[in-house]
Amino acid sequence: MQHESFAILKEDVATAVNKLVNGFLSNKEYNQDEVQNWTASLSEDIVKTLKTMSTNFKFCVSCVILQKGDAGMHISTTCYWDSNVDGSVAIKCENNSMYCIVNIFGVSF
Amino acid sequence: MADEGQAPDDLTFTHQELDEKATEAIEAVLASKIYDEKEVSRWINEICERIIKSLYDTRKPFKYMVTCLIMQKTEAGLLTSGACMFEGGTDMMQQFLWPKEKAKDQANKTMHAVVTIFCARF
Repeated sequence: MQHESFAILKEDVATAVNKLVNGFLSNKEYNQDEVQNWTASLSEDIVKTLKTMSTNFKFCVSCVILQKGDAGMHISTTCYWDSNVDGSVAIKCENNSMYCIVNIFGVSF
Repeated sequence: MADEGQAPDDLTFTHQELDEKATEAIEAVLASKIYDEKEVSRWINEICERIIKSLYDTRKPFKYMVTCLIMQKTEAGLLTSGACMFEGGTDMMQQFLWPKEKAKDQANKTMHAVVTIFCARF
């Protein structure tokens, strides 16, 4: 399925990734030894899913897992691209012990 | 104006080049600052803008995505990772942590910054 612009793809991407991340977090508690593997495998799973959704985009997925506590955190993104065809989605999920923030960028080529 | 003699033969970015841009931008904004909830949102925007501008000034045929994360130093754990689907030889994605592990004592004691730079050739 070919898409002219990321905007068309955006809603499907958001739904699919929300489902993936929530499913991933649902049975886990923050564990320092495991988290490294979790972020890596979550990013990879998301890229694989995106690959099936469209073939004329390059994707970048950035995944952050933050333990719940007193730390303050801010994230900002700036992009230089063609706003007619390129786009991004930010997904925020949480469970009892951690937050998970995923940024997805789709760039047309 | 762009230096005509320096045509971009190497149509990609090196890890070193991106590291320099990220470090320069972060140092310019965060050096000797204390984590301040009211200011942080301004700092992250400024860091992103500086990096994008310095990438744009290279005049290479790339699209850029820059993400900046600032987190207060506490006991909380933070992990980041990135995965991409792009073109192997020309596109780049790098993540940088500041302050670096081996930085001198003056390194900021109140916060961490993580910058992700993604460059895609068009």
